[in-house]
Amino acid sequence: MAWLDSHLLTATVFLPLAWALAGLLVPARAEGGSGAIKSWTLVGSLVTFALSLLVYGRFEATGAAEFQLQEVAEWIPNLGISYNVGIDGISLWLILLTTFLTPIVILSSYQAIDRREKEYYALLLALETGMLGAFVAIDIFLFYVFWEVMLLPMYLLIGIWGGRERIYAAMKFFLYTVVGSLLMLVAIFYLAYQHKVQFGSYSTALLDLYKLSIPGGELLAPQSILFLAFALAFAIKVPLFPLHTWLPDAHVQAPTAGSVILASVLLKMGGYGFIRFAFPLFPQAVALFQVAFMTIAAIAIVYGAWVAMVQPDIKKLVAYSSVSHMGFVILGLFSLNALGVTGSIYQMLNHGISTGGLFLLVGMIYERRHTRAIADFGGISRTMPLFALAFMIITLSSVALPGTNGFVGEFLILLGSWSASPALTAVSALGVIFGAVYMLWMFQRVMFGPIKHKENENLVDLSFRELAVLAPLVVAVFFMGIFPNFFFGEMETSVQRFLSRSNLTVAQAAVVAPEAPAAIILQDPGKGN
Amino acid sequence: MSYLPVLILVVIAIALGGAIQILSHVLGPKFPNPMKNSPFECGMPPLGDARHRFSVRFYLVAILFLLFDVEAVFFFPFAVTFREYLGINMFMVLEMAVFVGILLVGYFYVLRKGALEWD
Amino acid sequence: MDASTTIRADLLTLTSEQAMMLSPYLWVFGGTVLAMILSVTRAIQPRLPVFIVSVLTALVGMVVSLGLFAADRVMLFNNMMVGDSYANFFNVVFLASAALTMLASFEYLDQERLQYGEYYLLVLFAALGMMLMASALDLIVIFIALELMSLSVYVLVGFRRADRRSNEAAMKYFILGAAASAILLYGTALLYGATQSTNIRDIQAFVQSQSGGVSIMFTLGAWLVIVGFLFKIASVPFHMWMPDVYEGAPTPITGFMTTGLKAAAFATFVRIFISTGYGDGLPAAIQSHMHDIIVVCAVLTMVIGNAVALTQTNLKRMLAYSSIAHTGYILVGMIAGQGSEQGYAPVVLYLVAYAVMNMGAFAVLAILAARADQGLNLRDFSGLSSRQPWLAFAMSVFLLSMAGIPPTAGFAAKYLLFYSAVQAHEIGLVVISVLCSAISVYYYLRVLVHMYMHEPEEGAAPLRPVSVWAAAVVASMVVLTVQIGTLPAGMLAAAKRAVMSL
Repeated sequence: MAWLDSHLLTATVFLPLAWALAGLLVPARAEGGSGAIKSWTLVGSLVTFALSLLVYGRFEATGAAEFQLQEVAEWIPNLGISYNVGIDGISLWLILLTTFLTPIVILSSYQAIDRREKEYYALLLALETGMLGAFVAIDIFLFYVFWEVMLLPMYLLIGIWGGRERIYAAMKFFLYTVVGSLLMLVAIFYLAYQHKVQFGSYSTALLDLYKLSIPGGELLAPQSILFLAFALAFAIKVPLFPLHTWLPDAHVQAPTAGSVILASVLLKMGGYGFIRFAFPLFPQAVALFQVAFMTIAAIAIVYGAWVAMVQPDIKKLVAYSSVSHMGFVILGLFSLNALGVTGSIYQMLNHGISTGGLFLLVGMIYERRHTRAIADFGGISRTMPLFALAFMIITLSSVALPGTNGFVGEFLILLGSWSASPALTAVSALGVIFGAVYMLWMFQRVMFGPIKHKENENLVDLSFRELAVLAPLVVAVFFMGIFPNFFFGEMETSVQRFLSRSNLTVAQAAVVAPEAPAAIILQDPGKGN
Repeated sequence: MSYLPVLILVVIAIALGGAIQILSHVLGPKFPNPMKNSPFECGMPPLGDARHRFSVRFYLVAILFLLFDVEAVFFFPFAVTFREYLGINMFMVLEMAVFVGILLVGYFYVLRKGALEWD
Repeated sequence: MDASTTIRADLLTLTSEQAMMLSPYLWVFGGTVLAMILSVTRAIQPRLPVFIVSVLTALVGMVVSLGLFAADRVMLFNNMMVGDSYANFFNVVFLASAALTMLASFEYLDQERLQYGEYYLLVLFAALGMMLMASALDLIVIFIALELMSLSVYVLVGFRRADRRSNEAAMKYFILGAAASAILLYGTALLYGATQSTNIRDIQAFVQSQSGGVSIMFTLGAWLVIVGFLFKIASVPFHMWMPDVYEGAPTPITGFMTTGLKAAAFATFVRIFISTGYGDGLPAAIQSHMHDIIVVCAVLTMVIGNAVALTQTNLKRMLAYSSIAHTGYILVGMIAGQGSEQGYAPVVLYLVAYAVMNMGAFAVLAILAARADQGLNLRDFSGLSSRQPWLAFAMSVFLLSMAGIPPTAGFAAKYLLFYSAVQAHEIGLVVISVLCSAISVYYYLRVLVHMYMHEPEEGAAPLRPVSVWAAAVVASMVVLTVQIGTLPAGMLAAAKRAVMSL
């Protein structure tokens, strides 16, 4: 236990992978079907969740250290690369979101996946390791490794168990992400090299890189270019208009569990990347591009909502709603104040819960009817009342009704962005209204009215398993809506630290943050050292 | 005048060669046939299509000859100088033994492969 | 002439250090000769003993070289050869590659009914040529070693005598290879004319002493030598022979060529490169001249290699073009070698990583190949994951490694390579390289798509059971690929040590 005590994060991150490898030994087709591997995987994900609760218990909201539960081990000493993990109040919640959702998606796949189950569940667990690793890594090289590692299971999940156009979608997903992340890699090289130039030693540890002073302030200054390289990788992941085109394909073609993970966690990786890397490393560039990115975010919000409105396919509608919702996250981040940033982080968690829930619901109805076209439904609430209830709660969370989690996030974001740009806030607020329109309209067309199709008359309502899948989400919707302070407590210190790094005006005012780059020394990077 | 012996050697060689040629032409019996009259008595008609197919064995023999012949070239410089080096140690002799050993292995291989058998 | 001045007593002794340094060469040669005798001994059934002796020769030689890796540098044969860490590092690579090639070939040769002892002999001779090449310091020795290697490989490429593609490949390779050798030799002659030496150390010293620049003759000679090597490493625009040769050669030999041959050519290229135009203390004018042209070659190589690979449907051909692309990446590392702190270590590491993943990939191909090397098209890989799950998994690891996805050797190597290029201020070049890598992801993944996301072709021929030898090769390469990928520090340190001894 002593080992576990000092390596809690490592244990949490790698447990799923180890579990998956051990699971390969479980017979795929035992006497009673594939029950063994399913239970095995579910138990593994629950153990991981338990471990992450342990992490939560050990986390101190007002801890002095920037990163807690930190573990450092030498990895490639020649280049200053280390295995360096730790969490702060922001990544803590994203980790919990990941470990919370994984058992849910595993449980939801019990019936939907009927072939090659062993590989499927192993990949889900491997994916969990990748995601958790990316959230805990505070060495930029380690982060990049996990960032790429998690691509592969997702790619295979979409490509093997997806819909008809699955290969196209999987390839598109992979290539988009790889192109973005490779340019980020070049930027990482540059940063690592700059550390050598400025401090005389190699390091890729994030806290060391924060201390770099990179010339910025102009459009073609190194800082701006590096920021854009990072931003491209993260914006593709978020996905930010106009880089979102992989998302509808991937979401629609992926199996339900894939869509849920994709929407709930992988998209968060983009937002998280902005928070952890792009903003604090390049504050001047952030200031330079603030308006531009807020504008794009506002466009994304409205555009996503409009496109969602005309979708005939429920899953596609939800996919485009993600574009709109994630636009809010970017809007809040670039407002660069405590309200907006806190709101953004909260919105990321919300979106994970509500969009994940929607995808699960779509998956459940698809399993029954093998169609996702809105026109094929109508009057479902009569045959499936429980389903309709769950659907309604999640939908309301998605349209940000007060009392649900969605409200808190979007409200904070709009409040925060108002002080940065009232005009763009007004435009974005339209997105909230459009959001209500397309979600409720869809809900009405699916749930109410006469039953037009004979097949819909004999639909079976939710099974106990499906209730078990949805119940935690419904609870989370209300809990997060009513007790947001429960979450803000852990975030506060981290958000303040984030702002003191990322917002130049805050950084210059704050004398209490000695690590912040108070003065930017201009120097030619090419002639350094 | 250290080259005088060479000149004497050349003169004798030419004289001897010429004498034998002339004598055999004058004294020898002659039963000519077309094959014998061809410039190269190797079984190949010297005129005609160059894309003529002939047995791959010719190549094999030619290559083997070349190999062993060229390797023999290495012996000459060795033969000229090894006496001086012997004063220091046996290294050069050993090296030549290794060289000959390698040649013998090659010869053994060629022999067992049947490359020297015409049929 | 006074006889006493011509006698060099120091050439007539072999110190114990020298003997030790020579032991891997002598061992490999001895083993080869033994295998040669065995192969024509009629009393015993020859194929298995020859196979075992050859593999053991390579493996033990590898262990011996490994043991010599940390030893100090020893000059050999009047400075014509050198036994340093660099040479021994590559000796390990060559011998490992030869041993693995032979292990992967045994079953394959049975299937092709080509189980001749000569196959193993030629692989060993080629390996010996590579070893001599990487340790040679004299252009003449390099040439002889190169020919020993090349001639053996020409024959191996054409080993499937009944197959027209194999014949064509051998012929093409022979003629173009001979042309390259001729260019190299001409360059050597010109260098000798300009510097009065064929020893690359002397040539380097000569260039360093020329403060005002060098003669046209030198430049031309250096260029011809370098072109000769660009030919051997198949850099664009000297790459035309490669796809046909790779496709026509027996599959394990293609693997041998991408691993051993490429490593040998690059290992020697680095030695020559830093002495004739791009090394410490050489005039800046020569360096920048050399730099620009290699940059052009590198960019062309990457772009053309990757672009053409996109459209290939035959796996061997695709890997051939991908090999060209990888040559481009390595050239980027060569350019960066002078300006970065890691020096040429990333190049060396990349060669090792590339050798490992290619050896594995071609071993898989050799296992899967139907008779006469058929059945290596993309669609033959459809549904491989359900027919041969472990092979499909191994192939995926190798392909992802080539694509540079972590945590594989390919990623670690690429990371270090491009990182050193950024250090050398070649940022534009690095951006081009990573974009090319992004392109390459597509065609590597396409194989994965077929293996994992397609159903098996109807009426596909049943796969042979995998032999123990080949399985061992594939498994060990998977382990190495992941090991170098996750813990590259050890291999990097070794590569660095090797390069430091240059």
